[in-house]
Amino acid sequence: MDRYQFEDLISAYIENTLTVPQKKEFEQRLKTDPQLAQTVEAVRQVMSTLKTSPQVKTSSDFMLRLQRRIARERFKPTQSVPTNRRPGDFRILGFKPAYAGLMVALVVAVVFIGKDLLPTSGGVETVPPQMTAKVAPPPSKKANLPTVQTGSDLLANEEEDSSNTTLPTPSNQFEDKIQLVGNQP
Amino acid sequence: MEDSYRYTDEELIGRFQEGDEQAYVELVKRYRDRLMTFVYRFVDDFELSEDIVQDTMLKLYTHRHFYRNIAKFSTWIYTIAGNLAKTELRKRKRRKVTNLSRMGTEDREFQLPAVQPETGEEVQVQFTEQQIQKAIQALPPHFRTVIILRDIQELSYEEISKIVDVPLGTVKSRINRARLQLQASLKPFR
Repeated sequence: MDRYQFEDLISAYIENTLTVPQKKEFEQRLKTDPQLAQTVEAVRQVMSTLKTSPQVKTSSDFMLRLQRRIARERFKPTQSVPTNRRPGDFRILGFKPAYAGLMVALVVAVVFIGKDLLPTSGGVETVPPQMTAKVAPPPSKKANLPTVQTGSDLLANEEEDSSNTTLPTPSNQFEDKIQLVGNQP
Repeated sequence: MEDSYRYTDEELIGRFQEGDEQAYVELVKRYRDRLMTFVYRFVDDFELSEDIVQDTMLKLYTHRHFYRNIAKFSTWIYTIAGNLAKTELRKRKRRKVTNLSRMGTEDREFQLPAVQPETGEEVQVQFTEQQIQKAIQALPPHFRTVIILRDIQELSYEEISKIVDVPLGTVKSRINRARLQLQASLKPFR
């Protein structure tokens, strides 16, 4: 046996739990190894000191404090929040976590796609001219009057109306029609 | 319950389980100082130790029906106290990591709950006591628990094995190692 193996037997030797042959061998070693003998004596001292070390006492109000805590415990409701919720029933805003994540991803995707569809600058160049046409103002009171309109009045009205739109309207077509109507016998 | 000392711990917990609150008071009286010594030697803080012992006694009250008469009562109560102490120690360690930088070395001095010594002999006893407590604190927690239970609380190896839930051989080996470490750290004071 080496020194470390002997050290492993120190407690057993002091507590007298070694077998007879082990004890014999240990004592033989003690005679030849003064360092081991010194260690055995030191361990014996440590054990004795620990055994005689004073007991640490609780403070005088220990029982009183304990009684108060027990009283509080007695009046405590057994289950403060009654719940039948299982671990898998966790919800975020009423959705299961997987669905909530999916919803968030969907919203983010819609925002990004929508952002790409919107014009980056101005907007007039990219949008077709038909979509930028100004809405004609409501007809004036004068136009609603039941008056007989002459060919020149109609022309004037048509010119007014045509001026409100960007659509290219050949004005001479109207003139031709008006003249044709006017030339009827 | 005048003749409570006639009853064993197991009989007392049995009576308490049947509703005898006086049996509980008797158990607290029997174990409060024993547990206090065990916990104080382990966590090295008087107030914290008392809180842990209070928690242990409260758990004994609220969880009395968890005790089964197959184990010794002392094993059961020491296991509760030991687990609470270990949990507190872990919490304190975490707190210490954040607070240590703000502390001076004098703040970390060992605090002794005993009264002020009057004679030279008392001073010597208190000094030895301090050195032992320091040496115990220097041990790893798994060595500390077993050495306190064996050499201070004088429990049997079998009981310690049940309390710390490790095989008997491991307990014996840990106790021997702990003793060797203690004697080495106390060498300068001999």
